[in-house]
Amino acid sequence: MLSREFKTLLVREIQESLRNKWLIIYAVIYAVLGLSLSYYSVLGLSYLGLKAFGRVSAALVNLTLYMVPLMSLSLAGLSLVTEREKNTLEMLLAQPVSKTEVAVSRYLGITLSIFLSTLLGYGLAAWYLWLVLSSGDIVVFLQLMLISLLAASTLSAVGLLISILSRTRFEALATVLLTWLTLVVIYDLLVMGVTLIADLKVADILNLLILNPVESARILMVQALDPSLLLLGPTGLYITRTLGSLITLAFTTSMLAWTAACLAAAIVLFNRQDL
Amino acid sequence: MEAVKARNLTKEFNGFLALDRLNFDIPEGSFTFLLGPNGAGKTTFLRCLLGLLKFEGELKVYGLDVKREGKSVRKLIGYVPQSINLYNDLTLTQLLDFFSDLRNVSITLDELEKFGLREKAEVRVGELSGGMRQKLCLLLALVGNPPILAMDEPFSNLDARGRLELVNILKTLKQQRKTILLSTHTLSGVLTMADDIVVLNRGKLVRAMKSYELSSTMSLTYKIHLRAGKESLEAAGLKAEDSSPGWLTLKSEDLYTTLTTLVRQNVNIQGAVIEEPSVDELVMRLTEDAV
Repeated sequence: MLSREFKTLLVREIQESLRNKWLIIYAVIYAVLGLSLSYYSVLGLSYLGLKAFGRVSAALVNLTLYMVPLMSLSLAGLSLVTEREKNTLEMLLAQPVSKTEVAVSRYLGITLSIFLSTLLGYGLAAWYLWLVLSSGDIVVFLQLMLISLLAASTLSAVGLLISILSRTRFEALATVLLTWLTLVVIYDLLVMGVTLIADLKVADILNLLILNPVESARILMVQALDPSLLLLGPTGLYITRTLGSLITLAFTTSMLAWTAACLAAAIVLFNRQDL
Repeated sequence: MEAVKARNLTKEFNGFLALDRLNFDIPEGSFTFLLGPNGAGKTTFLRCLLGLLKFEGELKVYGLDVKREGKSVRKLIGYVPQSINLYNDLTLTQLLDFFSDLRNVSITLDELEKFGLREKAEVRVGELSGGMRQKLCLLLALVGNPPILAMDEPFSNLDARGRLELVNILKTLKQQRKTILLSTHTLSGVLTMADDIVVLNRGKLVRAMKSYELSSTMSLTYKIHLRAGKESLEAAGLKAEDSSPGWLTLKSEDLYTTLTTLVRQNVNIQGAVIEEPSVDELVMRLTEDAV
């Protein structure tokens, strides 16, 4: 059962996160981009006479895979280190609360706030798309939304760990940006480079992809759009043949494992730290 | 019963011994001064007491182990840190609600009234003056009426009026038999309020004693600054030195006797300021005494 102190901390974290100017900026950008992309994709595709949702979804997938990691990593990554630097953490930890309660409430507060902003972004797009899409497409759209929420919870855990390991806000921000760049851009390039140099087999590429939570989210999203994963080329075909119906389970497990590992490491390290 | 019990309490920061095998008790209901110059380990001790820092050795609060039962220990302690940083974006009411919820108590705005903060109830914390923040922090430390109040250098950022207000609040709390632990690097003119004194220097315990032991076993040098005629002082057998223009300074290790002499000899005094001995002198004398 949740303690009263934990509930108090959680409510405070959610209130504070919702007041965070960065979250508000992200939510607005998300909503505007989501709505615009949906509008222009549908507009362009109906003009060309192609299936509308595929392109709309591709645009949303790309938006999600850039925005959600950046939002989650930066909000969680700057959370505790900012309190430490402002010295408000001393007064908070002098109260009858445990460090575990502080860390977990911080994580949940940020994750729930990101959920709200993601729902707002997707929600506006969904409201528009509801008018033009079939019910089957709406199910796929909801799947995409759930996967982006899963990505937000995973990357918030990574961000919290960064916040606990960083000594200053500047260090945390630099680490957040480097981590984001690595997971979203550099990792792909590295996998391609290593594949060319080391002549990796498809099985190795699959293993490398499953190690990156952003790649896992990408594959899950592509699978929601196209269960055969043809969009991913030979690697996609190999994943379908090897994992079959276990694709969702495998990549979801990878993301959940990242979440659990980072959250556990964050709690352990925070408890071992002074202040 | 001991409110606080420290045994072999040791804290090291990257090879630097901030606390070195401290052993002392703080009795329940006592007003204890934690004295020592800057860097003596006073803040480190208070942070260890709250479980904010990891440490070696044993530290118990009302029999509860700080290492294993930190959350329960913190329920028993109200804390006023040296540098007061609160959530500036919250109003006083919101902040009070947050802290009272954390301590599972409900609190009314009357509490703000007691500290002269009632009219600031809806003002954001960031807009308060330093003295008001100090009062607010003391109010927050007393939420839930914890049996122990720990204050780190509470006089350092206060003006004369603020110090007087704080002294009055502390006197009331002392009458209520609250265990008060106050760290300071100045004697602050309130040493007479103390029941117990713990003197630290460079992380080591110099002495833990009753306050009357200090006055009965050790004479410290007081400086009495006077506006008076030098001749009349010499006639009274007191040797004064010129200090600032118009002022003479008497050094005395027995304040009572010196003041009595001044009165009995009818020395014409137009102004007087008494300067208490410094903590540095106290620590030096106690250290010499220990050697």
